[in-house]
Amino acid sequence: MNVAANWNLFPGYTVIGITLGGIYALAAIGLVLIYRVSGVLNFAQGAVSMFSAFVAYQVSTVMGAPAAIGLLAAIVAGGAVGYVIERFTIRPLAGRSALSKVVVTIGWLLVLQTSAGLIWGQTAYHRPVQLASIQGFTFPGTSVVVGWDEFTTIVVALGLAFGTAAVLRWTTFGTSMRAVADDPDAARLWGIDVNRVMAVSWVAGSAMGAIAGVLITPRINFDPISLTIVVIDAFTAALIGRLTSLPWTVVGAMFLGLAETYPRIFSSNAGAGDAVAFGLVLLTLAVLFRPGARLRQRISAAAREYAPVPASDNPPVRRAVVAAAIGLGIVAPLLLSSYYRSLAAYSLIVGLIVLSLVVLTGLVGQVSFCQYSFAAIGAFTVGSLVGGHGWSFWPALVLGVVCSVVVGVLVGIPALRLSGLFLAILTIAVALFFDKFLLAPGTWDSFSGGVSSWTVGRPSFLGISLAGAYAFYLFTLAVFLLAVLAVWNLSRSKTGRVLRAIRNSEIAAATSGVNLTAWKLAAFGVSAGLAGLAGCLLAAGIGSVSAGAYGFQQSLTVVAIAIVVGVRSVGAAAVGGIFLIFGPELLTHTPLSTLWFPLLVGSTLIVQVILTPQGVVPDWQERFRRRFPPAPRFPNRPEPATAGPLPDLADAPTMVKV
Amino acid sequence: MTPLLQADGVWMSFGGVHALSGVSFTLRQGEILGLIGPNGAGKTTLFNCITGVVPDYRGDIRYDGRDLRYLKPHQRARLRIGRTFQNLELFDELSALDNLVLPLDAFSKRGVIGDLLRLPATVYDERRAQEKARAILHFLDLDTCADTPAGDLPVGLQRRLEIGRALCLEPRLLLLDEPGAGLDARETADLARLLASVRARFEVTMLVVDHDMALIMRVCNRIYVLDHGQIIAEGTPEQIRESPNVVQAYLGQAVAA
Repeated sequence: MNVAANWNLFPGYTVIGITLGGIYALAAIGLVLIYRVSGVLNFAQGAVSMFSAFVAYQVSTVMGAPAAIGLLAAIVAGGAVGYVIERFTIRPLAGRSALSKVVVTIGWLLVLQTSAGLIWGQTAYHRPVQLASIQGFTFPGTSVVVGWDEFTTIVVALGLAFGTAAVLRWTTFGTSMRAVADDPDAARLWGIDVNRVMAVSWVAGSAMGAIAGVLITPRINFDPISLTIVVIDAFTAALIGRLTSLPWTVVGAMFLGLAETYPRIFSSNAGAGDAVAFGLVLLTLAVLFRPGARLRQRISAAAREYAPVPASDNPPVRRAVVAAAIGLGIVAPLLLSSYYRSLAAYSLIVGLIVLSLVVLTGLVGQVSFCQYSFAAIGAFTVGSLVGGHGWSFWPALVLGVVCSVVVGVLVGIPALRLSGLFLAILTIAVALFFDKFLLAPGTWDSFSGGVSSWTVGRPSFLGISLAGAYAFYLFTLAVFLLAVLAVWNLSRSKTGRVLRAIRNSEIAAATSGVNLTAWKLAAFGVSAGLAGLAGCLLAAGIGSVSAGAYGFQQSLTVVAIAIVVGVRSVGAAAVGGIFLIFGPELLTHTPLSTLWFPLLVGSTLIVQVILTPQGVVPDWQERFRRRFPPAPRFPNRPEPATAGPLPDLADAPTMVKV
Repeated sequence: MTPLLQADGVWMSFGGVHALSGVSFTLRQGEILGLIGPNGAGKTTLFNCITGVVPDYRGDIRYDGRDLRYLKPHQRARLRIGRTFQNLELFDELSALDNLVLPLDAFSKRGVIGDLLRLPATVYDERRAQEKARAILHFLDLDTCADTPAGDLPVGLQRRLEIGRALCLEPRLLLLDEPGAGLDARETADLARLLASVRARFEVTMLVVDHDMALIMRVCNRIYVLDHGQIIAEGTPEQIRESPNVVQAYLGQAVAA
């Protein structure tokens, strides 16, 4: 490749980059508008854009209406979806933590993405919605050709961006929006209709996302998944503007658009742009963005909702239940076919990934969307060493787990300075970095296997071959039980106490002698190690390792399921794994197909967050505990703490601490 | 004998506001030193400088002859500097007992691996820590609350528990930030008694910040008065009561004149 010759592409790529930047700016401004007014980081922003773009596609490409009508339909659809999200799923959560609201938007992401896939096809080619002619004009004084579509996009994007800024600054309604953003309670006292302002911000923000979605269709793969993850670009731009400043958001978006486009001059690797985006997220979060005290507080209060259930239960009853579950776990697969036995083994392996979230979300209070990337490290380490270098499985497994722990700690380092939700954005960037760049063919083929997959095969353990479905199942059961025991040990001993203490009050923990850095990183390491272990087992279970099975989508689904079953309890891990593997399997026996699964998970997630915030399993445990109350530990205590219903932590005022 | 804590010209500013402008004072081994001053005088900021919560102060703070500047908060805690907070920073979710166990956890050397495997040494450590915490709980007369989440205790008991948590560090220096805030007369009397018995039971030097003059006058050997980030008076309780500077800081110019 002749680099010098490629410099001729520079001006043309600049136009492409700025166009892309304009679109990102629009999506990001929608995001900032919603965040500032309602305090919700809308992870579904990309999904709303995507869904609306498909409405435009339906109207103009399929039904043949002019593109402008299609755009109008998209704006209406986007606004409507935004309204529905706010009115029916965010508003009922008033007073609840920022984390639960984010979780709801993740539910919506899954719902919208899956619905679009079911209606318009998940991967099929879709003809883009072309608003203006791709014919162009030569930019005066240069030889650079600018397409009319690119010109329109830039004008529309910048016009809307500055229009929004003007509305916020100079109109009465803009002032009331800023007032609500500052302090909803005070705004209410001044007679502002807070609900109306919030609804308007959601409608407007989503409509802007819709326009961005339509504009971007000619520029990236027009399918439900690619469009949905444009949200990470929007987040990056919004973060550069510190989620408040609209001008800086526009600058950030332009910068991002260019930064993603220029690498294509030098590299044929399609993921190079994503790698740059990842670097930019990291850089922004690390250098530019430090959440203010107020933000930090909101989130630490938030994490409490997902706190583990206090360990005050009834040991004999618990032991009986656990023994029965293990007995059932050993015997039940004997009655199943070999196919279902291997499914059972996979559900335990996925259960390990859910367990890794129990550590991270339940104990530390962080959400991570890259658990499958940690699993990928384990799987590909095993794959490349066993398949590529002829290692035996067991040393490869040890090395795989060690590598995932190391990467987990590295991802955890920004967490020392960021709080929950911003770290969540970073983990999305990590997942996409793995997906689109690191594991993509051509980047690091001696690790990812390139276009082919690694063959691993089933090892034997202490002379017993694990090739049979039942033998492998029993092995995974043993590993799973040991891991559950280890995490349970962790949560009820010093580590659990220290992590809970850190979540309650970092300052008090530090001045009591707790090394915050070490403990947080240790938790990240344990969590990533569990996911890495799952990856190694998955490699052995399937017998081969190939990219695509360890992506962002999988991580997203596993987070959704972990929260549905409840990250507050180690017991939930098994339930989560079974649900994730057998759920789609069950669907094949119904008129629906497995494609419906994320839709069901997403809608369950939304309903569940609104109705039982703790998750299904802890909720069930709580009822159980009330049925079999423990003996009081100290006879002189007035009444056992379990006598009444637990107070809903969510309702506890969050402004107790100043 | 070297003083336990010596501050020399400590400056701290937030933006353009000088919270502390050149504060110097000496804390002798074994005394109970009071620090009073109107709201915004910089008392809590001074505590934050000593415990490392705000890192970038100018000037010099020496603890037992050792420069504290480059030590993180947890390292200072390990030098046995304990503190409480004006706005109560208990671990609300943890039981009262676990709040006291926590500093002992932080001091134990066993790590995550020991916890994962629940090694015998870990279990032994844990039992030792529990016994010790229970002894402190008994000293605080909070035995009956051992299992109650700290967040559910009434404020008076929370204040006491927080002092107990600091005592679990076996502190040589104990910094109490408005221990009497939000307490009624009876609770304040209990607090004064508690501080006296802390002094009797533990070998500890205390620095107490409070607005409650009666409390400060009653428990402290010596008092510093801080106003607008500067020490304006120093002396025994009797001397302070007479000092015109203090009256002026608290009541304003006109009344003093």
